[in-house]
Amino acid sequence: MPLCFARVQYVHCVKKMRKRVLSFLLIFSFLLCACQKQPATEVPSEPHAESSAASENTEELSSRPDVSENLSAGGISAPDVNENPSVGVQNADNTPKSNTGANGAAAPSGNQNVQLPAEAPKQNTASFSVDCKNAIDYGILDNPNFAGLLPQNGVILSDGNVQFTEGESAMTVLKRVLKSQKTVCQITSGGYVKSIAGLSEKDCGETSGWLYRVNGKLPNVSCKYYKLQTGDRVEFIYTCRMGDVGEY
Amino acid sequence: MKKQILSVLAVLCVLSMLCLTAFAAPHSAEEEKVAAWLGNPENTQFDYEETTFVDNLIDWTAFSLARAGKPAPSEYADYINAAVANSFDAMYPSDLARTVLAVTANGMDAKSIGGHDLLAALAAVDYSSQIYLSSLNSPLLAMNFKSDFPFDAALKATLVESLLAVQQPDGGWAYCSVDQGYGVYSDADSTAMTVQALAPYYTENEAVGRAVDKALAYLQAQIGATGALEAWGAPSGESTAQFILALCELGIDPTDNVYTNNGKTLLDGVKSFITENGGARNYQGMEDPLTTYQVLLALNAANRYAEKRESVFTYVEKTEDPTNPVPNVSSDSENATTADNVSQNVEIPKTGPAVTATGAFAAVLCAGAVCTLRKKDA
Repeated sequence: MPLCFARVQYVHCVKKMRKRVLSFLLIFSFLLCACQKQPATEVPSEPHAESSAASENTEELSSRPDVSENLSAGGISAPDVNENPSVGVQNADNTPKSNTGANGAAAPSGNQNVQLPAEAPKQNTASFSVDCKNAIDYGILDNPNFAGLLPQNGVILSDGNVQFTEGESAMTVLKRVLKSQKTVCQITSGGYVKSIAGLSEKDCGETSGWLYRVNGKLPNVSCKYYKLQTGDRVEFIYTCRMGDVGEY
Repeated sequence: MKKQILSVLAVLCVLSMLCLTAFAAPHSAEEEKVAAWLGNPENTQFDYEETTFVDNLIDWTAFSLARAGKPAPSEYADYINAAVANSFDAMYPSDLARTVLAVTANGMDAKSIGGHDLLAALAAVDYSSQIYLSSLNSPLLAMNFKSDFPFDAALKATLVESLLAVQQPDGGWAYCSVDQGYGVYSDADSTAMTVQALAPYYTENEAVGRAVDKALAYLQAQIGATGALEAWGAPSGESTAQFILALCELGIDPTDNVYTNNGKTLLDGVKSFITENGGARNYQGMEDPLTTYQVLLALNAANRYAEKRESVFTYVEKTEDPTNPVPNVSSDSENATTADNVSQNVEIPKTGPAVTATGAFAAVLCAGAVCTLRKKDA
């Protein structure tokens, strides 16, 4: 009798369990179906194994991020030139200023009024300048189209401090500064500077155009992807031929 | 006995769900994810109003999204009309070509953009004097895009010949065919883009056939251990994407063994650049619209290949045929002037959801059967 009772209990238990398992399976299958449909419309939820594979880009050598942009722009463009492995670094002898000891972030070069105020620790400031001296030397002012347009000394924006908020790019701040002094510019969504103050790429020959230096170095990213650091000295410079803008 | 049937059914149920997880994430889910990232203005930060000139990245993004079934936002038409009106005289041949591709893919008329006939402008270019490769390969790509574009065969033949004439001895093409002070080197991107433009002539023109074969060998040699091209000293999502596009234009399977290295296909290679957000990393490891639109085009090209649809650079206008409501392979995907078309576009990448639905149905059937059996049992 007790044995029989035990069996009944057992069967009962098993049935209960089975019921649970089955309902669990049912619910689970519905849930799964529901989940499966999501990634088509929803973006972030599903971690794809292959997509989280770590980047192998350990070095920032010569890869040209803007290559297709430049390719389709049909022209040699400044970021292109400065990312080309064979350009940029080599013309130390042509460097306009010979300040050998200048290094890194807060070291403005010699003659300029970029003394960073030590009393403003939380204020993000960087210095910006825009010059087209090379175009003036090239003789751009002989071209009637440019005669009244460009300043004789080639200084479109003189070196001065600009405030920015954390995370802003050189492109964003350049656009803002130029806008504030009503200087027109064309900067592509990819961060390539086509023209400033009406002076465009190729106006002084096939390899001419705008490029930029930060603290004396030619960054190998477009200015859209250069995140400003406080104390940066940013110079947008017109180049006419390889070597007339070097690093220091 | 019942127990056994039950367990078999339960196993079946579980199996069908396993199948779901295995097959329900086809390429199209990935394509959707990347398209969603690229279609998000927060990621691209395009300033349509302030952009008064034709903008490479905006146009290619509009083209890529349209090919992936997502028409450009309404601001695009305003921007492109104003930009062309404003900068028409300064447009390079490659600008004209890209604009033709982008507007056509978005259902606009390339003969009337910003008051200009871009097709006529493209036909009027003096192609004999171009030294930049993109002034040759982009126009040819654009001319091939739609079969009723009014470009005569002689003009296209001139472009083909010009391209063949500047192929480098290593089989690749260089960005500029004249030394501007830093040498003339072949590169993967220029080469792959040129192959895309030459693809329609691959079989009919023997010289093109030889040139393209050589180019494919040049590109294949650059595939690295991740399946991606290591064109600039590090794996490049952009170069890999362009290569996939080139193969798909030729009708070659982008996962073909010939282009598989270390067990990794080109598609594996290109997918390795996609982040969990759906963006694609540039060579610095940052999510970048420039990389992302190219990766999106590559995924789209691979899906078109797998589904036997027309290629990315072959535009087939959607035929309005009420007697044939189920679109056939060659006419289903195109877009996008009417609301009707838009709704159709939204449903394009069908395989994923279709497989999912079938699997789900099977799972429910199984579960239902289990239930019924169990009831009988009771």
